[in-house]
Amino acid sequence: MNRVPVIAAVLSRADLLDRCVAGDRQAWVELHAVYRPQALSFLRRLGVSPREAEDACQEIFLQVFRYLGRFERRAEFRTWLYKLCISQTERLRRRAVLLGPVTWLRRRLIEPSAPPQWSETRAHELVEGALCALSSRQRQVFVLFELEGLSTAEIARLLGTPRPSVRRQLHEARTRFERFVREQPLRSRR
Amino acid sequence: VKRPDDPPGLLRHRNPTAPLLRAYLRATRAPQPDNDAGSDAAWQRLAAGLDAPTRPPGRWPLVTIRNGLAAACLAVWLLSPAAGSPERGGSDGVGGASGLATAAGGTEGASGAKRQSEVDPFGPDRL
Repeated sequence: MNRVPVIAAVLSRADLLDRCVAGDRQAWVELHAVYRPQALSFLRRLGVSPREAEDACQEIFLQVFRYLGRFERRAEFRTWLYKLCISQTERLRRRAVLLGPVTWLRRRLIEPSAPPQWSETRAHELVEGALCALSSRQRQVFVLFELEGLSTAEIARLLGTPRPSVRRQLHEARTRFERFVREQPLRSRR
Repeated sequence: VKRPDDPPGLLRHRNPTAPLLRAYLRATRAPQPDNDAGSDAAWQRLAAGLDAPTRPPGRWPLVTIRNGLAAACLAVWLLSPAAGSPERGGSDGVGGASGLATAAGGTEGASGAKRQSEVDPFGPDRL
């Protein structure tokens, strides 16, 4: 496998971070352009609606640019970005619990015919349904490992839990995920 | 890079759910930087936020007010004559001490809650 492009990409990324820390606005624009899609995808896979994901992404990048100087680069920048995404998702979830009745009322009164946001394809529905059936922590571990390709060691560090615990949560998440998919009809009833 | 002792990913071996996961990945993939029409607008919004004056971290007014209220409640509770009363865990000096210990536990809980709610992009394990 040719590792030269990979090494070049890592070096240019380090250089980009250096320029950002030095306050180079153009570097900030580049960093935002490169990592915003990753953050948006990850937020959506954690269950944040597309509209909320945009706002959450803004909030996350505000934190990135404010605290980038404190990032020690012992982990990949992407890992740190994912940590910020997880914190933001948990904040959104807490707020959703508090605003639950208001949101329900708004949906009933103001947006009675709003189309479901996650029903483009049956596969999408199924996976989203299965992910919703997981606990918040199980979903984080599952998405990070299966969809984002992080190792269990990286996930353990990111979530601040021991590695055996991550493996156990991954195993439980997989079992629940597969059971959910097995029990659902493959074709949509609509 | 996955460690050798990590289990194989569902996407990487023959698994009935792999096609579903691939479809989901495609559906949730955000537009790439070269093809992201919303990126510029998002950056403009972000730049406006970055240029807005910021409060120093750890000095958010709501947190300060909440902590102030918590400290005041704790002080009132500690100074109240019933601190060592039987309802609070004892009838004599020993009970009073036990009440105090509970109060200390309460303080610890409050500061723990503070740590959770404040913006801490690093957490206990610095990255």
